[in-house]
Amino acid sequence: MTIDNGGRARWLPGVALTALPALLVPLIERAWVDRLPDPLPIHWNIAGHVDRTASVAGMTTTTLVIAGLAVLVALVVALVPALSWRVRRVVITVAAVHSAGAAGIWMMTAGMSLDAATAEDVTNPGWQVTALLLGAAAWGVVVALSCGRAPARSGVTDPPPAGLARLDLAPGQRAAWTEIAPIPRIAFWVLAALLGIAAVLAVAVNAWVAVPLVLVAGIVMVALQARFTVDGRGVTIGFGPWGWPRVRVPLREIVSAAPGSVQIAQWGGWGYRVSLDGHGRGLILRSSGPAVRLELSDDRYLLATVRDPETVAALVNSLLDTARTS
Amino acid sequence: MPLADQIASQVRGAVAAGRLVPGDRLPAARELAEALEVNMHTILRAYAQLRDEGLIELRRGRGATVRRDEAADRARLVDAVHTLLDAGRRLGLDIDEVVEEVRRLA
Repeated sequence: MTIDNGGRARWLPGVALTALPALLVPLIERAWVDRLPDPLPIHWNIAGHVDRTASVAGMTTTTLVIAGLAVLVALVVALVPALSWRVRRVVITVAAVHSAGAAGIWMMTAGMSLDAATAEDVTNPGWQVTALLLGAAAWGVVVALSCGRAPARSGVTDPPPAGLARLDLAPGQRAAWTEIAPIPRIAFWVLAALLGIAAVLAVAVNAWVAVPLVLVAGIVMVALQARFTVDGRGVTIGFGPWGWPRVRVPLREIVSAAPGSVQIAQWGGWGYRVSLDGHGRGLILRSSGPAVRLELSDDRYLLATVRDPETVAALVNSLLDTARTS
Repeated sequence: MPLADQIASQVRGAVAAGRLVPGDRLPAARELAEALEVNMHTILRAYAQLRDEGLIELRRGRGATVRRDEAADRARLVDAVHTLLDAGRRLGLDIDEVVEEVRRLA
């Protein structure tokens, strides 16, 4: 695993961006103090009436404590030695989403309460909840991007072991493998359940409350549609109808390929997954059984359920031979 | 054999053998061109050839998909015709003579 000990300063923009939404809260509070009712509404019952309130100061303090903890976690992860680049980025991004979410709830509540005489006059949020979730997610993307590009993995120069299968390719013959895995049937049940809950919420509570669920359902379906490609550049997994976002393992990072097998229970379900030990990635889109296993540099591996693991493994080994012996 | 014909022949063979089934989406021309390190127009020519043979559908935005009707039968037929033409060429027969032979057996 790549250890990134140095260059801690590169993580500080991410930590600063994690803190930024929370820092805005006291500033906005000061600017709006004369226009906000005190206490503020913090919960509405199913009929849309306010049933819980909190003082402005209490709400600001709670927000700052939650966001402060997130910033603290981000700071610790930025400074602690011997953590992989990816772990740092994931933790800082999650911290940023938390901080932005907490600050967003404060801003949403204050924005809706602006110029209301009392908390009871504030109507329950609708589209604001969707905006809040999207805003927090967008802030996570900004912070993830601020972490910069991942450091390059080590390259491999040796051809795969001689005992592994190869394809019978003529000199100059070009070969590639590409397939779209079928979407597992269970995904349609999950989709139906999510849409059902969304419909009930839309009718019983508020149409906007259902929007995040519909978005999640859409993301689930897109994430389960994956094209798996092997060619002279390496292995590419492209998600969604446009093959984007995508994961690419360059040929230079692949040690060898062999048919293997996958147990879905060990990966916790379908989709693109990270193994528990953090060393493996899995594209699990079929039932338990045969899969292709790629050994990668830095003690990593990639498992993918493909239609014909023997052929895919042989193709990868042949491509590695061509790249490393010419 | 030109590259476009080779690519078309690979797809045709996969359809005939059932490795590609009706409704399967072929990779986008740009993607396949990058994967095989050929010009995108070569792939588009191969796809157009397969469309003319009735094997695939090309739709804007949807890309190339294997046709839902009798695509596999058509692929086998086109494959068989190619084999027939090759055999005729080896025997020195021209197209009319090959067709005449087909008529005689029909």
